[in-house]
Amino acid sequence: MNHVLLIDDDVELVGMFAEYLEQEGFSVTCMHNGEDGARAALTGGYAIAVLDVMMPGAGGIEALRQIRAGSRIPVLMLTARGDDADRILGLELGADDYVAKPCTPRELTARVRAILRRTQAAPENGPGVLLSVGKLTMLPEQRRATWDGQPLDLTSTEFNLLEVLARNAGRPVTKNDLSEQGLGRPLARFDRNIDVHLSSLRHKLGPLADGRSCLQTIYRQGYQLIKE
Amino acid sequence: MGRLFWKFFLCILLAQVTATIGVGGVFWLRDQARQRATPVLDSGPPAAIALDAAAATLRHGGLPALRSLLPDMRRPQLFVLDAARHELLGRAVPAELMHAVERELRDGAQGGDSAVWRGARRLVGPDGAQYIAFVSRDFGRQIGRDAGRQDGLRDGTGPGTLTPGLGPGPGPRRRIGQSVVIGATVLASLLFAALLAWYFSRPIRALRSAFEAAAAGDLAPRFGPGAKGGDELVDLGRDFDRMSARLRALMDGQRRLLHDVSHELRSPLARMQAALGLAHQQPDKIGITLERIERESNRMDKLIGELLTLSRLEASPDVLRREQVDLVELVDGLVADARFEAGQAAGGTALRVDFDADDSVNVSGDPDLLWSALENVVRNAARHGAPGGVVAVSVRAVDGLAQVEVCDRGPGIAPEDLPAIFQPFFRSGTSRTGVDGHGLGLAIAQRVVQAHDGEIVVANRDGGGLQVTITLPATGR
Repeated sequence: MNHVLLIDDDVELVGMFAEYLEQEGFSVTCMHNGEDGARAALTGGYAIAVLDVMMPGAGGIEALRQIRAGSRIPVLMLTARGDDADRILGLELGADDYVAKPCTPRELTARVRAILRRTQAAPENGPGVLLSVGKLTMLPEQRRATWDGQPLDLTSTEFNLLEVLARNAGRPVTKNDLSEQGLGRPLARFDRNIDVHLSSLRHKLGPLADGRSCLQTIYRQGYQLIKE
Repeated sequence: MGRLFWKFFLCILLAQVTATIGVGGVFWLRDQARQRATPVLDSGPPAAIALDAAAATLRHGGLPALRSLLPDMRRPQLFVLDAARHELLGRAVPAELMHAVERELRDGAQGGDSAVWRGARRLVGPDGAQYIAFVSRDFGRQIGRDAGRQDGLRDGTGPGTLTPGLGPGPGPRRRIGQSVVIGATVLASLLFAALLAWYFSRPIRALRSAFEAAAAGDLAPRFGPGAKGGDELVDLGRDFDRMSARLRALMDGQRRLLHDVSHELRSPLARMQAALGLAHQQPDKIGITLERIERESNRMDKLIGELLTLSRLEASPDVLRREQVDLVELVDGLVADARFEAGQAAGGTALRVDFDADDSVNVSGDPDLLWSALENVVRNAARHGAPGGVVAVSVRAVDGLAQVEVCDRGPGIAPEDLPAIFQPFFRSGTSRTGVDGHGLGLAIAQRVVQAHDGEIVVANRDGGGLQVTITLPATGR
């Protein structure tokens, strides 16, 4: 399952990316506007969607919102370099990662691979492995998580990051480790990606008995999942 | 309370004090002059009583009785002259007083016998001797006592005369009253000065804070349209709001332009990088990818050229070079280019370009700028009007104006987008994808036409399509 959906209004660019990805062994479908792209992504026939959030109007962001309303398909955003607003909005809306445009096709392909590797992680942990930290329970091979018995609705990146934190519960995990193990790439400078995902996770996980969040920021070190 | 407040305050206070001193001084001087000029005769009721007393004394007691009376009459002071004009007690009578007495007596002789209130009177003694009696006003002692009575006569303006209600009270009480009034006046003056100063300096302080906010980058409107009418300071506030709104619009425009420019430059860059990636992946197809890279770099070059033209036109809106340009010749060349390109690109469904013109229509202007403006319009029509199959171009001289019309049968522009069509990088939603171009063409065309004192109008045609009309002032052939 390596069918990639490319959603971008730049026909020529998408054509070249498609050509490159096909050479790399992916099968590619291209869509040139947000509505068609969102509709295609929601069919469930794709492993990953690469979405340009800078399409005219609110096209890209709106498409992302539509996709997230009905699917947890991994979404890789193409954003403008230096445009933090779009990027953070996109991550908050549940995109898994971003690539700043202009980017080389090799970079894009590597990022697509990293996301697919994470989301399609083979159940090497063996069946029945269950991570449990306090009220949090995770089933990595089924990619399911519950908080206090209630199922959590997490994007694949959020799930990966939470899994890394749960495996290291009670110990701080550096942002670089989180990025490498959760996103499949080293932490870039000025990268707010991890922070945005963890802020979103904090909202989804309930508070502890004493009202604190179970995800603590350890100054200059990273994040820690509190073990009760 | 800033420094300005105190300046206003002191100026107003000074003006008030000066005015008070001036008016008071004028009245004081007039009063002094009147006192000096008034007949020094006293003609009031006490004087009449004194004169009656003198007359009765003379009639019944004779001259000795009158003579003994005179020293007792200190207030009012009575003088009696005998026929030889000698004062009975030998007191000196000033010459002015004598003149006044004589004038008075002369007036009395003319004015009949109702001389009861007159200040001087002829008396006839029992021995038939003639005397002249009169009452003099003794300034030094009488001014104080007369003050109460004279208030009614004066206008009540002098510094010491603001106490009409006090009447001829005893001295110390009056002095207290006067100082109370002076104190109240000074207080009131201070209060009014402070109020006026506050009233003037408040809008200026508001303006100052607005300027400070603007300097700090906050260009939000501060005075609002609420203050209707009003004085120059309110107008100034409104002007400030207008200025900051204009600045804000300009800054927003610049920021948007910069954003658009970087976005537009990034698109060809992204394609170039993608092409480079493909070249690395598939070295055998290097020819195709090099062509792509060349195309993209040409696009970037064109975009930068257009941007420079645009910014030059915005920086100096006047045309520097003016030559005689024949629009017919110019447009004819453009139409030929458009026909050639249409024939190349469209293949089967060739776009027809109709051209209709007068013999020659001359305008004065920069040929390069006019060429690029008209090229943008004609190209635009050829590009967007392709589905309609026909583009009609006409050049005419109408009433001393050169008119170029470019009409197509393409999709036209949504009515709500029409006002924005001349903005740089504006592209109508439908034409955004697929069609080459950056949305700078019409922006450049508009600025060129405006620099030539002309007008460019874009309208949707009946039955679909777009009509661009350019009007320029024509020159003689």
